[in-house]
Amino acid sequence: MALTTESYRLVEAYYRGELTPAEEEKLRARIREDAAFAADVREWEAVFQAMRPTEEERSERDALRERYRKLRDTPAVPAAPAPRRLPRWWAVAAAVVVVTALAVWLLREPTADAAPPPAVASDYPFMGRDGARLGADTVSQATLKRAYDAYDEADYAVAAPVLLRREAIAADSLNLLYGGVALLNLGETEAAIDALARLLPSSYYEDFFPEINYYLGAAYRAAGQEAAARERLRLAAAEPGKYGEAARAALEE
Amino acid sequence: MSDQEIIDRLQDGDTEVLDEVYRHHRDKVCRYLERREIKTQNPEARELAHDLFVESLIALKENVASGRLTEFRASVSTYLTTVCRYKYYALRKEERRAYSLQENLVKAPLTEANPEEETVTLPAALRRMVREMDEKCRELITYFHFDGIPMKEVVTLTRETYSSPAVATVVKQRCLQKLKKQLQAYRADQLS
Repeated sequence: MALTTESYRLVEAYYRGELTPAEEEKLRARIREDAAFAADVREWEAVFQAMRPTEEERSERDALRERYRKLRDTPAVPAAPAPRRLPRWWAVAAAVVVVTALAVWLLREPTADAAPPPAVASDYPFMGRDGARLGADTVSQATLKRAYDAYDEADYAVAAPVLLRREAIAADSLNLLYGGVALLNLGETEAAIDALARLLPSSYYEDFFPEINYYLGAAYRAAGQEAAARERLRLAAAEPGKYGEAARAALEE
Repeated sequence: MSDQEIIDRLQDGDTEVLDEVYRHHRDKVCRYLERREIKTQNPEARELAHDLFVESLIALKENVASGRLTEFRASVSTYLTTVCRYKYYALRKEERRAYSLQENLVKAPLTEANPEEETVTLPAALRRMVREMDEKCRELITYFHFDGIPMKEVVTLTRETYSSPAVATVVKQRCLQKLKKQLQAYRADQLS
């Protein structure tokens, strides 16, 4: 058992590219010198070799790469919903909206670059935890610590699931702020908007309104909801401090 | 479209669903990669982000179509982003070695294969064995070995089924032992 565990670890590390050239050479030398070890390595190697993509998989992959390479520069619009029959008044209202939007578009200021604007002026500023105890009491201390450490290192993929557990959100909605920031950084903009917007009705979190408005503005902008983004960023920009400054920079952009 | 619908349609061989996933998630994931991982916004970074995203779509399609992935404990968006991130890390780590995004890490065999053994059918046999494993094993092997995601992140993707990466690593090792035994038996059958 000991031998097979050792050879498993070495073969796995080898196939994942985790061994240094010197370690690889040492492994090869041992295979040459130790027949029992070599036999065990061969068994493990059969497993790892069989995991490599097959010819069929390779050709399917190439076909998909080619397919999506051609689509790269096309706008990625969501799939069109099924057509619905609308009442006549709705058609008139829609026509008015279209004409108004067209007029606004025609009268807009020219932009230097046709590319979509970035979400904010630069990367989102990191929102320090300042010792805030997040998560929920139902979560083990070890899991909480891991989530705190991950959040402090901006490893949002690890932190977010703990911060946004149902019981965590119910018990302390400050988790919504940190969780919302984590979601925004993970690119989950709609979920970030949902989490952050839930904090707005509560005056309990007034002290955090610059942060909430800034990150909510950034999330709206990332989701392409520019009017809502500007409304939130303006509110944040009226405040002093780091988030006011970041919001002002984002508005100037 | 729900994540489960994506899985159901991919399992049914409906490849159009992949186009929908592409359209729905491309910009969001690519933007995230450019800003948070590649940390550069220029045409090359955009192209790299797109290439990474396509690789994550391929992983999604292969894993679901082959039956290795039957549900997302996290969202499909988290899955795609995670695969992209680790493909990007692997690319950066291995950029001076024999690695390409399309081929993954190409490693020469350490030992010589038995000349009498028919090795062509082994990948298909192994894929069937993985598909038939219990859910925990299937998930761990898929994320860790087929997608190359580190164990720390696998723990997140599995919604903390495991208390730590070390625990998940021990479980995965047991799963691989099982797989090794099955493959050994299959190879012995082939030779006899």
